[in-house]
Amino acid sequence: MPESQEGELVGLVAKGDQQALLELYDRYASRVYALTLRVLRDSMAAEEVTQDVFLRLWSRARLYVPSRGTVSTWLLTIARNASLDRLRLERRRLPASNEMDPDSLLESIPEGTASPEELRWRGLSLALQELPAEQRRPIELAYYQGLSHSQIAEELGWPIGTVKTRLRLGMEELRRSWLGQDARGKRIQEPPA
Amino acid sequence: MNASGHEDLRGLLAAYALGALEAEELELAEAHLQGCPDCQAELDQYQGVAEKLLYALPPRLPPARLRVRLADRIARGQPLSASRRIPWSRTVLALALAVVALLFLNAALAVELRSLQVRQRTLSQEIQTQNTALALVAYPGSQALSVVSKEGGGAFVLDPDLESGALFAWGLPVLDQAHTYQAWLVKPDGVRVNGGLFTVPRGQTFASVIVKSDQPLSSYSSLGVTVEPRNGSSAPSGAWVLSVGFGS
Repeated sequence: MPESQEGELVGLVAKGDQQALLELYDRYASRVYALTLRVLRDSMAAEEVTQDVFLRLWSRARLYVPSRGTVSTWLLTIARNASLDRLRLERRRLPASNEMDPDSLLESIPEGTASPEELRWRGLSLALQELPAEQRRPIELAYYQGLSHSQIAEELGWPIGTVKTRLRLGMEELRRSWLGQDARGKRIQEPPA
Repeated sequence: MNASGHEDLRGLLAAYALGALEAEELELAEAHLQGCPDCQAELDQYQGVAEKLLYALPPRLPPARLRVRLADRIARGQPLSASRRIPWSRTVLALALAVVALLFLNAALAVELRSLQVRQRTLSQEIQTQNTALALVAYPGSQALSVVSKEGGGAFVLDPDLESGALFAWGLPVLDQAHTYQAWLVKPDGVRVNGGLFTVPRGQTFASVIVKSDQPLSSYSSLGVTVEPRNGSSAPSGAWVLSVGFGS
């Protein structure tokens, strides 16, 4: 769906169009739920936060500004922040053994039947998974668990300098992979939108 | 700034985009970014990477009941509360405690006004705080969120459409005259905005302040309080002594 049509749907939601909200839910609930589940690792909490996100869309649709980003980014940003807030306040620390196996999730989607959107997230996920584990883990802990350098160091048992270096190296690699930029900021290619 | 200092700060940009900086590092980075367009451009790239992390997870279908509940909620036009991590009974308790504390504070302030004219200005400000807070409590769209604190507790009463809310905190230690408590409103992108200074009046274990913003409180994701120098700071200089998430 083009961004302009999504913006129109949000406009309809702002006017109280319930069907427009449900259409946006049908389109984005799986992404929002995946993100909340990743952060909270608890299906009930993830359901609550997911519902919150769409109720917030229902009550705050008039605050959406298209020039600031897409509807999906707006919703996912709200979802991440809401999940991290809940995580921090409940002081959850999840054991490593509960971590989802990303390879099993990738294997669940047959190559021949993958939609363009599925291929997109698969590509993004693969780039993240292809990072060395010592670079991927601090990035995941920072972004999906909201941890700071010192908290990551404590979680992983690494010196804080090591955390900073590995996190930076991992992000540099993702920048090269996802944005087509080399380390000096030279544009190699413009990835498709 | 020398080249070494610039490179050190440049090395923090990736972590900045992920929200992984400590408070001190964040302050240094933000100060540097204001005068370094190259670093700002590099930060923009890392923020682009961070944005893609939102999409790097395989979609997961939520239970069907979630859609049913959502459709039911919006169809019945129920009051929309941020899904609260706080059960409804705790919300009522937080509101009741806020009202009781306000009534107690009102009585105590009335006695002090009659006997201590030298405190008139400070007390007038506190009365304004409680009057505003009472109005917020009665407002149809108001919510009461529980405050998380190591030393005590409290409540933050707000209507997300308004630009101010009332913070009540108990158990915070009285600070010396060189320091004050400062409230911060936190935006979804991590930017901290000053929400006001307050102190715990001597002889009381309770503090209240109207947290003010130039935007609706729905623009923010949380509130935190730090200990700062007497006249406040431009950015938090330490860890939160209390915090409250807005559930959005």
